[in-house]
Amino acid sequence: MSEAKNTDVEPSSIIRDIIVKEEFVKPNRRVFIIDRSKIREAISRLIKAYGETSIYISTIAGVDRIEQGLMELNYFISVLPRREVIVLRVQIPRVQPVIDTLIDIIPGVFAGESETFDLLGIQFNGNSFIKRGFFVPEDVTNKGVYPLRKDAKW
Amino acid sequence: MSLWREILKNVFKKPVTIEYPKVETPIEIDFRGLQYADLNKCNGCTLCALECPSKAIEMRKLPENVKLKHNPRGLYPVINYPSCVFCYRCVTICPVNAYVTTNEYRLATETEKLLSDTLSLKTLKSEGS
Amino acid sequence: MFQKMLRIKAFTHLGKMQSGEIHLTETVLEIPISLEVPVGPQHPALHEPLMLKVYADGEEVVKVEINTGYNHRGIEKLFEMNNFYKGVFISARICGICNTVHADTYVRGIEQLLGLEPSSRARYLRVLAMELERIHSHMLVNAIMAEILGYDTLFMLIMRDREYVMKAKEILTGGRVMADYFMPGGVRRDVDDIKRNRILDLLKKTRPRLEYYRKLFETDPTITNRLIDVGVLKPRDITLHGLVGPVARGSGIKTDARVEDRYDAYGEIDFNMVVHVEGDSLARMLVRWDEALESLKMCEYILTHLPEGQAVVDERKLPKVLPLGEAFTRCEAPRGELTYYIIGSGRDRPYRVKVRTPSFHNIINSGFSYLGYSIADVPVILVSYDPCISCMERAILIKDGEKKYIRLRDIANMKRG
Repeated sequence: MSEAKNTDVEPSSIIRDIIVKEEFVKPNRRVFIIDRSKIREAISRLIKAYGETSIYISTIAGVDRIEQGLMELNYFISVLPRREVIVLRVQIPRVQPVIDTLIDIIPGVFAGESETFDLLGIQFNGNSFIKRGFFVPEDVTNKGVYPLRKDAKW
Repeated sequence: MSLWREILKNVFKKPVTIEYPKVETPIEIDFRGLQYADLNKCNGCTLCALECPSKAIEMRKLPENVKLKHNPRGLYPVINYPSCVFCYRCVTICPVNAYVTTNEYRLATETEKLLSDTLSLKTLKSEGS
Repeated sequence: MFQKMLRIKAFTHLGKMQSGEIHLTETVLEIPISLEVPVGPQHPALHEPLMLKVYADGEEVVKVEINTGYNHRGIEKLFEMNNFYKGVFISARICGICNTVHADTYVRGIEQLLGLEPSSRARYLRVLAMELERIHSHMLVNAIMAEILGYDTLFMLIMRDREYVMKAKEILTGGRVMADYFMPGGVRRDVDDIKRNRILDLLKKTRPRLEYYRKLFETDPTITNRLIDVGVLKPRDITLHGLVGPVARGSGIKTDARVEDRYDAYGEIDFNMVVHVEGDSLARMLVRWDEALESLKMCEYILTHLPEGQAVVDERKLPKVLPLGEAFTRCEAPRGELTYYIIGSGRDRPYRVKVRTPSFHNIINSGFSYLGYSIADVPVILVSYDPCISCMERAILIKDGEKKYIRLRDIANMKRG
């Protein structure tokens, strides 16, 4: 921890080879779309570049895009020395949504991953702590319904 | 440092509690209290019923003997106060400013006095029509 | 295996051997000695239902599991089923004590999608409403901390002085707690000279009380004996677990959404970010008292430097359709960083609204911080994180309005039978 970190480095330069596309979210926050198998590598590189106490995951937001047959998962990351928020976006097929977990690198995703699994049904590989019924009441989980999907009826 | 001095000062003062209902609570004139429609202005457009966030407004037909020129459809709004959250969206969205606002917060009284349609129909009688 | 076992060596008598000696064998008995102490869902130390399963070995806590879901109301689905103007009122009702910050973040997200710009006077008035709410929210949590320690006199005194701030909020917005004050494009009420002077008088009366309570929290032995060195969090724990707000600023991390984003009028008003480095419960409570004093200074500055202009927006002339696009807005609530992610759909209903409240991370991810302290420290640590459980859970069960008439007689008979 005693190495001097260059904490002003531009975030896209750290993960340049993994970025598939760049977009924007108002007001002027940059979105980097990456492949879903590379998410662990991207987060590990960002933590190594900025240091453990200068970066945290602010929100994990899942979106059900039923017309495109996809689910999008957005990781909003707040980079403290640069005072900005960047977004990492992955796209997962809607039929069997599975992605790797980040809980051994950043334990703080426990709350976000539990809520996304309970409400949208995205499975996180390697996370043994999440279970159904964390937020959703029992009579809805007994029917096997994920309430926030666009075609959920109960 | 401790609270002793503070406690000694308060022993010789009056209690702070407002002894409702012997004493009225001091309330502002523009506190968001009871609201009802003035039927001399309402034109039955039903915008307030469509925009209510808690679906507390129901449109009813006016009584048989009442015909108003400015209300061709013959509908007037009736608010269900137990569901109302007093957000005043109906007051601000009305195109003719037909809502009367009060600061009445004591809603647990005899029902006949405070029903929304009683209050609205009373506005017609006072005009003598 | 987290459970500690007590191993006892016992001697069992098996009988006499031929030589006359008594034959004894050694057996080892294993008794689990950690006891599960359920804290909640109904508990006198908590103000809202939350289940903390605390496993204790004697007096020391060895493991904590957190169960939520008792207050879940389905708000994210409700946003998608109503038009986006009704969403302004729905978002204010997610939490009672942080209703102005929820409404402000939602309204700013809608304004960015619609392309509306509020006037300068409206932005200053929005900041005034949010800072008044910050003062009374911080007074409330400190009063609750005094109450669970058993210091009821201090609890009553703080609540008496909090009434001045509630009256100021009633003069400004029309409601003591629920201020339905925000609308895309501006605010819903204006302030004239008489109201301004009344609010300034009330704030002048509050200032000596806030300074007195801050000094008391630092020096009174009843409070310092129970709060110092309890629940210490290191900076590395905070960013890895995503804890935000005064919890992070009490351990030395310099993060504040008002300074980073400079939304509304925060770019034009001077204020300091309050940071303490000790990391224990007393540091977190002192961060809140210092922030309340800073907010008081900001409110007085706003009231004496209000710009001219039109602050009230005419709600009948606003656009009816939400265009396509995405917006991510955040705000510094009294409890931490609050974020809203809104996706517009081209119709009058939003496609997705995602709300992440500060208590979501502060309570659910903090199960590690109770280990090693005694059971009596568990309520102190929990209240120092400022739990707002209605902010944390948002799900509903809606049943279409059925009307049922039940007589009182039937309810009384149900209890007896």
